[in-house]
Amino acid sequence: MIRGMAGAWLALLVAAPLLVVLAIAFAIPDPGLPPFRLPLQAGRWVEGNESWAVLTQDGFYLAALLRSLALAGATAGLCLLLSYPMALGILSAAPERRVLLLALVVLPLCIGFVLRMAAWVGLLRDSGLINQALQALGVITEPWPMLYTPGGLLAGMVHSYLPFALLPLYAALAARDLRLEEAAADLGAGAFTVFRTITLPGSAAAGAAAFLLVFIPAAGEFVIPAILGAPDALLAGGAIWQEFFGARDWPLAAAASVALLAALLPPLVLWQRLERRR
Amino acid sequence: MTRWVLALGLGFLWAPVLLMAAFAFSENRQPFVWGGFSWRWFVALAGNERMLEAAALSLLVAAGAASLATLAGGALGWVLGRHGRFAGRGLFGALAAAPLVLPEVVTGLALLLLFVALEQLTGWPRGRGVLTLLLAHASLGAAYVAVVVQGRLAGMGRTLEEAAADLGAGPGVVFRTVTLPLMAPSLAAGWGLAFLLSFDDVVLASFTSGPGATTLPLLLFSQLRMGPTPEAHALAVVMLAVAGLGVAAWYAWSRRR
Amino acid sequence: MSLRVEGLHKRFGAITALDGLDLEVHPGEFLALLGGSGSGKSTLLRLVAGFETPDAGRIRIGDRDMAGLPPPRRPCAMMFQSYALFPHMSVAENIGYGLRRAGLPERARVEELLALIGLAGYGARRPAQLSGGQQQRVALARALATRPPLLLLDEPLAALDAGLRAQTGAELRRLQRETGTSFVMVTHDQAEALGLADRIALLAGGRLEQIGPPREVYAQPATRFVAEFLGAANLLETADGVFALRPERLRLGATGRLAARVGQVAFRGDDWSVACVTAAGQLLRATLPGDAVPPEPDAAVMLDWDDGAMVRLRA
Repeated sequence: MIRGMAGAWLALLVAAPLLVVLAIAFAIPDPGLPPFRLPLQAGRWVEGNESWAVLTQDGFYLAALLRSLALAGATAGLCLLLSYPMALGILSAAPERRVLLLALVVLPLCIGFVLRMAAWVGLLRDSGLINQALQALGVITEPWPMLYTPGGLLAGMVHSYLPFALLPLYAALAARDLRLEEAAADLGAGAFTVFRTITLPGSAAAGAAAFLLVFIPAAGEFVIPAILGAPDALLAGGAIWQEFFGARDWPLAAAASVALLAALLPPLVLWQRLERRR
Repeated sequence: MTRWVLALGLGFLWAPVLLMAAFAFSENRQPFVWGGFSWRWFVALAGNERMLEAAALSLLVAAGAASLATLAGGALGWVLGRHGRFAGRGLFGALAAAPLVLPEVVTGLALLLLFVALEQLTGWPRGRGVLTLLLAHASLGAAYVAVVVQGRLAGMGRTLEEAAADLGAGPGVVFRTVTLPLMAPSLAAGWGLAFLLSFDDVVLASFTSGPGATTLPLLLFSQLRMGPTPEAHALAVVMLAVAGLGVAAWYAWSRRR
Repeated sequence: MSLRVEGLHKRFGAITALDGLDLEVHPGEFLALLGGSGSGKSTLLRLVAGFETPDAGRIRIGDRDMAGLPPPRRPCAMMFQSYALFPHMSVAENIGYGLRRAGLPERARVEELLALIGLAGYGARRPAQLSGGQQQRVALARALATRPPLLLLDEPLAALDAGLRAQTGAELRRLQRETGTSFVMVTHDQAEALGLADRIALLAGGRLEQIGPPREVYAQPATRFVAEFLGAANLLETADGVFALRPERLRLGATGRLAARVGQVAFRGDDWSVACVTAAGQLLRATLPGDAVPPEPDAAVMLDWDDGAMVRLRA
């Protein structure tokens, strides 16, 4: 009975919404409310859906998707590069101090996502703290634009996603067999050689999983680019948002969602494989 | 070397947050411009009824969504962890985990379209508001609860439940006296996770909430698009203090055990 | 109470755990199930307890067929290998769990059991606050609380250190005698089985190899597996068949039945192990008392044994 109830929950709140998206992706825009008509009417397929043609032929959407994937790749790469040595750093501390260091990693999350972005706006904008400081020091005379640039956006992205790479990496590195490293050192390997030949290969799968764990949600990220990103360089999440709320083209928004999911399917499958192998 | 990177990374994580907190005590109306020490933004925050209302609504929605998510996610995790093989288990597991990996924009859009379609077909739910928001947050939270519960059940094995059955306990009694008490910590952790997810959410709320139901993140987000306000700084200090106290209390409690 | 198992089959996927097992345990008997990993001994216990369903065959406890009965309704109790004490309950609550389920008065019986296992006054503690040996006794008390007529023990001593094992084994034996409960104990430790049980059943590949009193299975192994699994054995292949010859039954001297040359000689504390190579090139091991003077390596000796020492094995 519990299985039936749990199954009903999944059917209603997970499967049904996705099926509705898929159905509306093939619907025909209509000025009514809701602003679409289903393509299957009285058992006949009605032509008129242009979403897929628009998505594939208008370079705007493809560019947005590619920009999203590039941003997600850069974010995940930087997160991995930072969090791997950070995790090792936490593990090199005394065991009773590790919990404290982990708390220090998680605590900045607690002021909430929007306020963290507000802090970045306050730092990055032309009248912001960094420009104030640089001007006071005489490094620059005119404000250096940072808000709405790719660099500023990347800083905000990494700031938000870093803990999501760090925590699973920390767990994986904490569980590694230290005797292997001792054995390598005993066989004459120096500290760096031990790292290169034992630690790094042993945690490659965990590193790849952490990368994907950031990449997948970052590719669909919408709020951070909306605040820190350039308004004219729209990303996939923003495009969906804009079509839905701005242009009220629900079929196009649904089709763009399906396309985004399709683009994320390969990394998702890869991530599942990595998780299953561990 | 790793310690230097750790220090650098923690500095990167903390600098914006601490600077924001520091300027909450600045007299100046311009955020991030020092104008002498003042409590005025905390006073302003305490008197900001829109903000307080939004915070109250957020707490309410988060608590409700987390409770619903714990019920549903607990059931999902229990089915995945204890029902072994059954027809459709692969699909069941994929659907249970799907909200974890779907982009929030897609989840939000999908849930909104579902609610619209449901209203067309059945007349329920009438418009978007607290109820639809609660369901959206619960569906996301349930996926997290399910993962935590399933992990806990897999980790503890079946031996204890077998021992209880061997000592004469029927399935219901085994669940009540052994499985549920041992699941309780993971249910509590899942509840907390679902609460935080809901309390911090902008995207799902943008899609599934209605005009009468503006949560705190939604309000802050719309204000931020106009430009940051000093009251937001004061709010950041309050949140930091609450979370810091929470972590300290938890740390003291876990050391005592 | 008696336990009777007939033609029991159980497969897990491609692995055959039990392959037509027949076995009988008498009322009040202490039976040891001995075998290597994969021999099916633990599977048998789980089938009797009702955690698994047999593919074929019957299980009877007393005069009742167990088919279709779920674990809580079977008259046997199980003591788990890692004890499976409920970590969120006190020692007293653990011991009283079965009594509570059966609606029996709890307090006096729990106190009685705590005294019986030497843990009076420990009732309020949590299992995690006990040593391994104490946890083992609590698990035993919990299983015995409702006075089940048949107790199944899965490697009850495996988690204890060597020192505690002998003492706890003797304790088990005493409790079994005092309560008159039938014990079926799974073990892979031959010394444990030989020292504690009334009878030993040897399992290999999901089948019964031999069953009998410890002295009988040791002295008269029926198969090559039993001869090699229980103690050490020299195997002699002759025209009449295969024979087992225990090393301690071999004598070295100037006269005897078989000429051999001494190979390696090793001192093992209690005894000497002497490897001898016969003229035909076969290796035979002999053991000599620890206080004997061993032969020099490479010396020529004659091997001798009593007539009954050679045991013919089933093919």
